[in-house]
Amino acid sequence: MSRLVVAALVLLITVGGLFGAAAWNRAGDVQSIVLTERELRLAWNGPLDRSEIRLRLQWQPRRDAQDARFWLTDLKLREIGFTTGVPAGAPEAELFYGRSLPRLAWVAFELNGPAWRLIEQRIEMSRPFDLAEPTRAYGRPLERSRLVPIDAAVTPEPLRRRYADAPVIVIPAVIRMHYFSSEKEGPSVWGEVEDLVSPEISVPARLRGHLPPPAKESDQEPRYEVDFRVGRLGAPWVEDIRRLSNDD
Amino acid sequence: MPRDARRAAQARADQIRAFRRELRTLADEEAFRPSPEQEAALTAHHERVLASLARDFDIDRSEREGQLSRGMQIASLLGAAALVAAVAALVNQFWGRLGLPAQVTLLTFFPLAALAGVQFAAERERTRYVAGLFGLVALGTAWFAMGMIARVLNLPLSPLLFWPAAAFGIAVAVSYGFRLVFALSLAVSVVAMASVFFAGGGVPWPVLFDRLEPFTGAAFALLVLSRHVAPLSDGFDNTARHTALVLLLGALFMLANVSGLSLLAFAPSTAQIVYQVVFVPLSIALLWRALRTGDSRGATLIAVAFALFILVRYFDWFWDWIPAWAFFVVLAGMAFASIALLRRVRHRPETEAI
Repeated sequence: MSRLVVAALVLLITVGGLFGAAAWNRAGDVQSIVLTERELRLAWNGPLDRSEIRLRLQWQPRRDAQDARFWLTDLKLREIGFTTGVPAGAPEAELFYGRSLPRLAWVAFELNGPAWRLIEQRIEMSRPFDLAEPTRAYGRPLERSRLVPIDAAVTPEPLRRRYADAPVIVIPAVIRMHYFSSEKEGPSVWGEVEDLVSPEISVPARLRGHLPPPAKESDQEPRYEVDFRVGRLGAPWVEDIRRLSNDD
Repeated sequence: MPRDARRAAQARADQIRAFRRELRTLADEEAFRPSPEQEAALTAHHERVLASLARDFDIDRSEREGQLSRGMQIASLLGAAALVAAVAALVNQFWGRLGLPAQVTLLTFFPLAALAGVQFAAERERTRYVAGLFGLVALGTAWFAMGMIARVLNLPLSPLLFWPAAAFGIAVAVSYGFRLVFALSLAVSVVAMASVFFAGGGVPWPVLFDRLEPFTGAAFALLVLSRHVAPLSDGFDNTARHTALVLLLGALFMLANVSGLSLLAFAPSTAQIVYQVVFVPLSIALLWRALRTGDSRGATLIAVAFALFILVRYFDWFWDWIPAWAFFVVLAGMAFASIALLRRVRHRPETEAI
């Protein structure tokens, strides 16, 4: 057995290392926020009896070039590591920004704050026929998340200090540069949050029963709220889930 | 039992078979015929040697036994894949009902049980097919366990996890000389090396599959280092070299033929031309070296990659320029030319040997 002891030790040390990383993540300065189904949706809308349950974090992508430049300025993009020296109108801009590599950064997401109010107004103005409709669990989930990226930095500490008293979570995300040119608006360059490093969160077995059954078209959301935590490594976890009554 | 001892035993058995065939041919051509006493003595000696080799090393004594052995190798590969899939399906079946301790215990149990299976089978079976199957299962279930435990703990899949994944595979491979396990682990090592380049620069590691230069560089590093892994186990230097060749030529092939995969600060089409120019002399140099060192499998790998490259380039350059019939006639002509070239290359070492 001695020949395979090394392999067994590598496996056990790796598993131990993963638990150590998880424990270190949850110790110390933990961020806490209460999110609802609007921000944390079931990643799989099927039977919940057997398979693993994961919640998927939803956020406002802020894909509009003007809106994106408002929060993710050239200065911030340069701090994160992007090269922004080529003007959007330059002939080589499309190739340059099109080939730009994505970057990892820490992003501050604000819940139900001023940035969300502006986005909500824009959504409602663009969908006048839907105003009378109640909010349903199905359809356009992205439009209902009140979690909005408002700031970004290379390290989490400045963001955590800056938004210590606000309903904000700071989590690692992937940011990418975009280039678009139209005859009407001309060329523009902006950055946006392409994805989160941990977009899905595993629900512990003890909380499975707190989740409602798969959503039906007639269901109104949010049907549950979640105590959401983010640790030192930026890895999130679910602390608790509570069912909400829609009669409220 | 050392793996190289079994290979040497198999080589001796093959040599005896070849000797007997040649003796029969010489007798048919009436060039040489041993006396009945000599023939009886030779046959008795060879039978004793073959029986001893079969007893000690479980070698293939005939062509048919060799074919059956290759069948067993394929069956063990399929069996390993099926077992890993079974473990993944079983875990998925009960996953939701288990708490974290049970999940982690279950995930860790499978690779440890497979390691015990490796040891158990290796002590009882000399061909190591079943042990090899358990080796592959240990590798697959260990990688599955590492990924799943990180997932349930909500830790992102970090490139740091590739290093223990590769180390586990190498430790399993070295134990009883499992070459496929070694090759797979080296491939993960190459991914781990390439990911360091991006992770160090604040770029998400999966970009290594979108910009292939660091991957190519890591594969080249493996090629250079391949001869230094020979002491680990018999034939591991060849395995490392062939793995490196597949990864290196595969990555270069993609860089030369797919737009936008390069880090070079040129237009994508220019970067492709750069790698097309690099691919040809590099392939020829690698092929020349493989032929010089007698690495026939390496030479075949390089020749296949080169032929594919030429084929794709030919389509890219000429499909729109010349009529379809002329295109295929030229293609057939190229096939004949390559056969003639390979025949000359094939005959040269034989002439030199004579």
